[in-house]
Amino acid sequence: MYYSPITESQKSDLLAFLGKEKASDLFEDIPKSNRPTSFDGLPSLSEIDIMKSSKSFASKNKNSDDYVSFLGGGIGDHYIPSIIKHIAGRSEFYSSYTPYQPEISQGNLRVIFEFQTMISELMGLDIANASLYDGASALAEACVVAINAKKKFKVLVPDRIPPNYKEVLKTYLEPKGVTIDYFNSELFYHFNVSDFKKKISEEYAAAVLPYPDFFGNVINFSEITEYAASKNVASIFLCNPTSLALLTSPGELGADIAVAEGINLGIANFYGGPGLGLIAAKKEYLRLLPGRIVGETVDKEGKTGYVLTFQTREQHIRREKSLSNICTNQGLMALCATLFLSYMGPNGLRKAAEQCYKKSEYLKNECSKLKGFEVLNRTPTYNEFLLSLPTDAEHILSRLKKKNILAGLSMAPYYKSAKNVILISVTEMKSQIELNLLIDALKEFEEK
Amino acid sequence: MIKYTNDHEWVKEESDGYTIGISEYAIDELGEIVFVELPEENAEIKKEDEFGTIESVKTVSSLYMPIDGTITSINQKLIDEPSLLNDNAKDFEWLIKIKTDSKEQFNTLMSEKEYQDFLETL
Amino acid sequence: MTTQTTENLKKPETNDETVSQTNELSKEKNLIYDYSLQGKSACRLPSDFLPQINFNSLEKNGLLRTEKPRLPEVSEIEIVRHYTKLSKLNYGIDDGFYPLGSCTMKYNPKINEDVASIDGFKNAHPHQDESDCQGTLALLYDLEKSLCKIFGFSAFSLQPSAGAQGEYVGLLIMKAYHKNNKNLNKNVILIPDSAHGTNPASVTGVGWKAVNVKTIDGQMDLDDLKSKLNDDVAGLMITNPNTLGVYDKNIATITKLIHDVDGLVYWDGANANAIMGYASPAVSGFDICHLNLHKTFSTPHGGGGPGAGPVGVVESLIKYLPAPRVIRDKNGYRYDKGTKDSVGRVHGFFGNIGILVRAYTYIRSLGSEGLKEVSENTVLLANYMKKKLEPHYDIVTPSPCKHEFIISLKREKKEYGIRALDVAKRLMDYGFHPPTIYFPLIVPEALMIETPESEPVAEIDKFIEAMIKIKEEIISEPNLLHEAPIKAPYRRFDEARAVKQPKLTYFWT
Repeated sequence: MYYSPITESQKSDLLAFLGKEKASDLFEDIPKSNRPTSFDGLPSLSEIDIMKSSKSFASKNKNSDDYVSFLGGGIGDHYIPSIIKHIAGRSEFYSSYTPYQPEISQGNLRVIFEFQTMISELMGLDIANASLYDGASALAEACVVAINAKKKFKVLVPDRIPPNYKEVLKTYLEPKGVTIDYFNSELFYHFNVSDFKKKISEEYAAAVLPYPDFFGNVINFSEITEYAASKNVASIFLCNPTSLALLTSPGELGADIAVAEGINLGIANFYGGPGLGLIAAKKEYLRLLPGRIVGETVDKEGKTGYVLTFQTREQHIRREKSLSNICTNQGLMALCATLFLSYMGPNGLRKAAEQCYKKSEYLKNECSKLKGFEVLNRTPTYNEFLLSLPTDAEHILSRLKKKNILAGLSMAPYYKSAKNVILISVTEMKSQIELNLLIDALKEFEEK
Repeated sequence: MIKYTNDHEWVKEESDGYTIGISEYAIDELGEIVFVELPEENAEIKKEDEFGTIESVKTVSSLYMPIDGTITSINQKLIDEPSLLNDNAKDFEWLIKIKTDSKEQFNTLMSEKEYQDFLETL
Repeated sequence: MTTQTTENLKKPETNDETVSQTNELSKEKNLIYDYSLQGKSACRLPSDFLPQINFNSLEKNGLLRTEKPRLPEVSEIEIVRHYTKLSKLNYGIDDGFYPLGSCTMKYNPKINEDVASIDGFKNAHPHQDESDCQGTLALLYDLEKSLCKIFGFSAFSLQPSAGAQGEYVGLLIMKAYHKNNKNLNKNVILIPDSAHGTNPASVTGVGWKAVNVKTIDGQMDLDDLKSKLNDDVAGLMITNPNTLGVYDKNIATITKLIHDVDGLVYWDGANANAIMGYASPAVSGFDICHLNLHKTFSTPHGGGGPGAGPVGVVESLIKYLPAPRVIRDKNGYRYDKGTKDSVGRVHGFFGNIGILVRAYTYIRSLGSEGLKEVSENTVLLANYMKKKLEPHYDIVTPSPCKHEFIISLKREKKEYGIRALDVAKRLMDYGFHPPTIYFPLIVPEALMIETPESEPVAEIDKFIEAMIKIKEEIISEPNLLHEAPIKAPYRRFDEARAVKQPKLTYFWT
């Protein structure tokens, strides 16, 4: 067997010591009626064959190296500095367990403490936890925090959060007896702030505020958060962490809790996972937050160190009274994000965010000049925007794909009235040549 | 008179009701106490229902009413400084005061001697 | 690692090299922030080719951030050195034996990492067309089929991000099933008192009530179970082998009793490593299960994640699985959007694909025979260690145990004032990661020891030797244990202070 360090003769010795003849004797306590019927038949491959076969699987995929890609919708084509794979590839990090034993886990614990600091700084809030599974479940967990804080069982959500997030919210909240009220805009792409404000009332535990929303719109929610607070409704921001070097922080806009998908912080797309759920909040929510939290303390000799803290919130202690069943965080992904943010620093992250914004503005501008094309966003955007095309989106997207351009994400599957609309995502990765390649390719479809 | 429960609570008979706390043994078992949650005053709570929780670094213990009662007062100092329970473990630092119509429930609790014997069995 | 004798483990010597080095470390710079100097940066981005574009529209709307987030300003070499140093303050599987009960800390084969770093897998965007992801979809499809074969279930959802999320999905499946059958009064899930904390927390999460069933002689107390059976029972969640390391022989009886009240039975697969090839949960009557791929299938724990917690079901429950799921038709592989009965989605996209790729690699490396041998060897090592330690400690797990067993230090606590925590900390001085402690809750002063199959016998022997020496110390020098660890990079921490005077970020005020 692979990876087995035990020889046949050692095995016989151990069995003899136990008074057993063969290994299967150790399983006599398992009744015959419990024995498997389908188990046998999976082949064992050599390392050489596995590598060959895995490469063959992978070669049937296309990826961001094969295309000039403007796909976004939560996950973008972001820069991953080389140091990340080298440090996160150290097995002292990746092969370690949850740091329950702080004396020999200061590596992980310090990383998490740094991570909590960086995430709370980005969000402009007091505290952040050690991370959650992904952005979608982080949003659901944030709603649960608000529900427990406010002791109310309704949340108000604008229709313009990512469609997959809506599905996850439903899966998480409905079984708990929580009602999700969606706020629909008349025009699917236009968000009327004052109409949304009118919907907020004392019956809600929280209002979810996408920042930017699924269509790329960036809205100043300070008026909403102030009003929500007056109605004892918590404001939950759903954000894109790379944008927060450029955009006013959720904390400054009055957020109580902020969540995000952190995969864009130095983590490979990997077809959508593992991602990194971020959650930050005001201090008053500390005891209601799900997941691990690390705090500073001292050891017996007075040396500063870090430990998992406020553990009595968690399932392994509070069991059925715990407010979340979450056990693990996304430790390795949190390490990647910490490395990424250290590498970028405040200035690098700002520059990258500025480039995202500028390149997006450039594309918006150029696309608007094309006959029959229209940029639909009426508010500022960050790095994503909606483009209405002269004809059917699927048609144009597939034509451009033949030129190795993934022009964006079709909105047709999500919104009935959006047959001609795509969401374009631009990041710091794109060169001037690549931007112009897209514009030139779109020109072909200009109305005559 | 002081009586005990097998949840390691003590109940002290006063002229106008009862005072309730947790035993030195329980405090020793818990270790350093970092958080205490107590009920609202005037809350009516039935025997064996939870009236609060007490936390050390790695345990949460529910506090159960030893007898039916209405909360007349809670030990506010503990909310700000839970470790007073450790500091004053021998001195019967209290959690809540109650009044009750169920005096007979008090009589069924363990005496000091019975409680000491009970501890021996653990 | 060299064997350490008791002699040199007695006292912390101030001139000891390891100790003085770590003293310096902690006095020096603890956090990446301690290296920060204004104006320093590791990052090099391409130059801005759009200087003409300004931020006026953001500014006008109050959306332009004026105060920078306080991120560290450091150079590349400082980042590399700081995190290399931190890695050395950690303990991973590549450093030594990790006897954590119910955690299955086995070796993480390096080829898994290499396969997961192939660009074709790693750089795929989740919104790409299905036709551009045929390789990944084929792999996921085949992984699902392999898991079905190993455990006997009819289908798996690969979406859950971890075991706890898998449990949640499993309970939602029960809920959907009972709703479809108009059994709306069902709201109780029975759980053995030896269960993991996630079980009752998950039950509360779906709005149901968890009721404990007692354990007797390491197995579920059938009389207690029967006394709690009624029409409100929606199902039962159980880990088998359980957290005491015992395979519950009555499992077929238990599953039948639950089915008789129209309940469903959930197998928590946390301890799947012990029974591959020897027991099939589906054959034993289980309806739903989750697996922890980061335990049984060798994917790295990552210091606490990411994991993956696939959920398997029998034929009649397939329609309730989370959508989407990969299916195969004449045009190749594609996502099935699911039926109206599906419990919905729990991941923003399709799951932790990077972890699934690693687990698939492991299964293909070992094959059926190899996986069976995994279970044989972990059980063999556990029974060997148990028998070796029996003369020295009170072991509550009856024989034969499966992959883990429990020592209770109740007697040592009473006689010498030594607790499970003290023994755990002392093991660090001997160069080992401690076992799981204070779990399962039904055993006082529990040490829960698991012996993954990837450990050499010599390492197991060394651990046994350390445990026996520690027993001698408990009797002769209990103070050594109260002081432990003295050889680890740090001494015991003041965990109460971390709660009473919280400092949760670098800039905490």
